[in-house]
Amino acid sequence: MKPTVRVTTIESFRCWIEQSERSFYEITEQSVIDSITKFEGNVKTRIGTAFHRIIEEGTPKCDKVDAGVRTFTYYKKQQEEPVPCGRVFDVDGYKVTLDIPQIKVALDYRNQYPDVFHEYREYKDYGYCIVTGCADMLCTTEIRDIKTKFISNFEDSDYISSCQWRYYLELFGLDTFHFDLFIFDDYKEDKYGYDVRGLPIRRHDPITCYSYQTMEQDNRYLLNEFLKWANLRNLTQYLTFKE
Amino acid sequence: MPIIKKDDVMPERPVIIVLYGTPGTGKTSVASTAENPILVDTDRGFDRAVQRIDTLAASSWGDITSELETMKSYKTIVVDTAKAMLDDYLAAYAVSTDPKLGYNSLKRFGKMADDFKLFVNTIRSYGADLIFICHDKEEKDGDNFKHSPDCTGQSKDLLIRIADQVGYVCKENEKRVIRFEPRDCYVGKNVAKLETKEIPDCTSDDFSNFMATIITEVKKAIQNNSEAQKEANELLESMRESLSGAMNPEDFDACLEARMQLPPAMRKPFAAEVNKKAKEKGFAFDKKENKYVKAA
Repeated sequence: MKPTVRVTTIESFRCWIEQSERSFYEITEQSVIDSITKFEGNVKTRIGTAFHRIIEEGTPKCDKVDAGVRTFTYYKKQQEEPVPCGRVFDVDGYKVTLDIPQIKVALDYRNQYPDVFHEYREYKDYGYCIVTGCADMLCTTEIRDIKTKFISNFEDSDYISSCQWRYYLELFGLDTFHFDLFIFDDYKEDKYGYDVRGLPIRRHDPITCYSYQTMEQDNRYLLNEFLKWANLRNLTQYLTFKE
Repeated sequence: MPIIKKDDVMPERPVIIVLYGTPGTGKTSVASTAENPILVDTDRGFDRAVQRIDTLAASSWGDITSELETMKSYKTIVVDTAKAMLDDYLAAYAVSTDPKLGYNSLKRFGKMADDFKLFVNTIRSYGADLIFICHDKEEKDGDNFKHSPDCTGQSKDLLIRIADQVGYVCKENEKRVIRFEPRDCYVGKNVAKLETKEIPDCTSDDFSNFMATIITEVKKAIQNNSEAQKEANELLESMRESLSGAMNPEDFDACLEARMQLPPAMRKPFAAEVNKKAKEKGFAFDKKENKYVKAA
């Protein structure tokens, strides 16, 4: 059976081999291996999943939660602050809580693109392996990918140099890819955890990438490098994908 | 301003082009061949251009904004260079409005980005196109060198993000060319999918409107793309309407057949929608018969 590789896995590999000075977090060879063998997500990815779910489904299953008080430690002192009411989403057994203005940001975005296909997965057979990627939104002739961010300090080049848009444009046979970034300002994991109520969320200007003449060549080159490495590390057996 | 409905074709809009390259490749001269241009000279280099055009010699952000009304009568605003405008004038202006911004680069850049966008939007509201000229910056990128517009990181991001085309002006086989296709060795942006453009000799007839022709091509490409999107959106909407009314296997067969009218990228996802809906109604696709039948 041919190995099946997710674009996100190739992107982790790219970040590691290129060791971008401005990687969002330190990416080691072990973290790439973990992303292949046992990636289970983390607090930030789960908050992102809840946000994605609203955009995808409009009214996903959730429960109401009343306004209350958040307690946290600030300079070794216990502090309290009020939090507004919101909705709780179950993501892999973890309870992610968003407030109404945050949910509204997601819904406004969803309503902005009514004629789209949400969460559509595509596969491409490269002969020696299959590459797969799931587009958040397929809008007529473009792809829109939603990214939730928890830091404001990033550069467009972090996205422009990624291989994600290059593979997606090839997989879906399209020319334009937009990264739509939503930033949870001032998020601190130890303070907020899974409950991000009260945090302002803002939409960054889209970062748009376009297909170019040698894009498919670049994709093949990177895929070959990835497969050589996966073979060297005896990881080919893990390159499978099930929806 | 009239509302543009989501399914309307976008009206032709002004475009933003970034040209960068090494000194002496003729960036300013090329930009001055756009339609009815004015040069906002922040680099004191207007006298080096082959042809003289109306010029605003600016030495501060205030010099530029105070002439915004005057710019209304021009069709193309050429800013030479974007680095001086953004990193020098606009940064100084931001700090002059709030001295604390001198110590907080993140907030300073936020203010600069807001003012810059306001400037760009004002020019766009006049219906004028914008050309930003930058010097070339060569940086080591792994084992290679990469050329990009010379601006600080965040200004460069902003510039490339808002630009429709980013062209690298360079010399190739003794000819001057503009390359828009991004490559490993230089930054580019090519919304209009333009081929490499050879810059004609400045004494030739083709030179006088060279940039004007490129801008027209870019606008046409953007317009065509918008037209294609509108058609696809309308088609998808009507097909989804038919699908929501589908009651029997024949209706689903017709929906599946109709997907071939959609752009290729949308056919499979629409087929998946048809399948899902058919399943809900108790039908399944019989691969042998190549049609929907009542599910067993």
